[in-house]
Amino acid sequence: MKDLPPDTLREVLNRIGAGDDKAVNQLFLHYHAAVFRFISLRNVPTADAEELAQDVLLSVLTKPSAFEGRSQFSTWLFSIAKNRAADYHRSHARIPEVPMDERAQDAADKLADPMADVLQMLEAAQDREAMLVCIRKLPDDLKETVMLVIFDMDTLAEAAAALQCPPGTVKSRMFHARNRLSDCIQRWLNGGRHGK
Amino acid sequence: MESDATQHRRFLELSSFYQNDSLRGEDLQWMHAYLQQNPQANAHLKMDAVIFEAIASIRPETEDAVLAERFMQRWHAAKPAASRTRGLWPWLRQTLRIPAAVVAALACLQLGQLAYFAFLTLGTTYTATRSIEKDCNTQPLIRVSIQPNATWEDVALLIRKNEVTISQGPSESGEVWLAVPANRSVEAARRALSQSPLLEQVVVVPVTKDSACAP
Repeated sequence: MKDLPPDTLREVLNRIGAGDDKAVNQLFLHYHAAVFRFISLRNVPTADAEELAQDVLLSVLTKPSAFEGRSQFSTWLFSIAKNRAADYHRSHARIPEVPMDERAQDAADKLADPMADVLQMLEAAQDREAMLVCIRKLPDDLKETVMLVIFDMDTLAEAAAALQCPPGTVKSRMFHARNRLSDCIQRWLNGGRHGK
Repeated sequence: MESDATQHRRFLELSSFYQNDSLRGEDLQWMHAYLQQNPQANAHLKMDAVIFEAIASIRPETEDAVLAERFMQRWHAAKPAASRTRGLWPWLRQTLRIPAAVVAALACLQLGQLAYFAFLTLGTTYTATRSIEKDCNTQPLIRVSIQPNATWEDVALLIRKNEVTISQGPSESGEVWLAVPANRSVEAARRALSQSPLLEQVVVVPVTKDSACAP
């Protein structure tokens, strides 16, 4: 999901400020799926993620002037979504993620080429669900980076701007994310769907 | 010369940007060379496609149309009440597609016409009333200077409130001569008008023959 062009976004927000339903619908259709995915990837159950995504957009649209244009609109939207997801987990007393411990991470990072055969197996099994499970297990910062770079196809500079970090950090996160995903997929395939 | 581990790390760091076609310059050349020397690394490139499909499969369970409808209902319930009135002007501009300056000029013209016709009407009423009176108005007039930023509506209200009528004016300098009905005190009317912040100067002036009996 790419942001609306700045001029279009400004016009749409102005129309929303004036109570224009069509503009509200336009913004909802453009951003809702992305906000839902973002919240869902933070391990919020689907039905609750639908509701939270609506809450996020509603809070933004009732005060469109709160967006000051200091960042990308989607960055601003995701920062609100991040807080809402954190609130959700606090109120439901859940642990949102299962980060890999440091030793396991080091071991994964040292693997020479962990994925070459595994991906072929995964492709043969057509088991995308395994990958989704593994993505959900990533820490939030890696998840966000993977989403921006692989799903939204951001350039290095765009991802760095959106994540508000140096390009080197984005590259480093991609490296760790790939290694963690590789390790997770290997364990999934070795242990089977119910053996993870 | 980079070690294998360093090269592999660099490859993993850059491979997604290679695949989304945003890699340029030295990094792009390096990737081409690395993939040529390590053909097995091509398997990694498939990983992005799997990740993409996995993320794309995250969809709400509820249909888009239902979600959109539900959202619009929540929006209507939550949106600020004043937004409709705040939105009238942008809506007008959007709908009519006319520049603000043109609208402002037309509005001024319309106001000017209204003021002119109001003035003519007052004159007519006065003439009609005078036509059945035996005598012309011989009471002194009150000359007032209107504040430059005062609106015509406010001045008209002030005139009505003080039960006076416009005898002459407004002049180019914003002066108006007001007539006080014969049964009321001119001085009392002057004092009342002096209290208004809309007026800069309130002075009693003798009536002239023209202003007393002009049609």
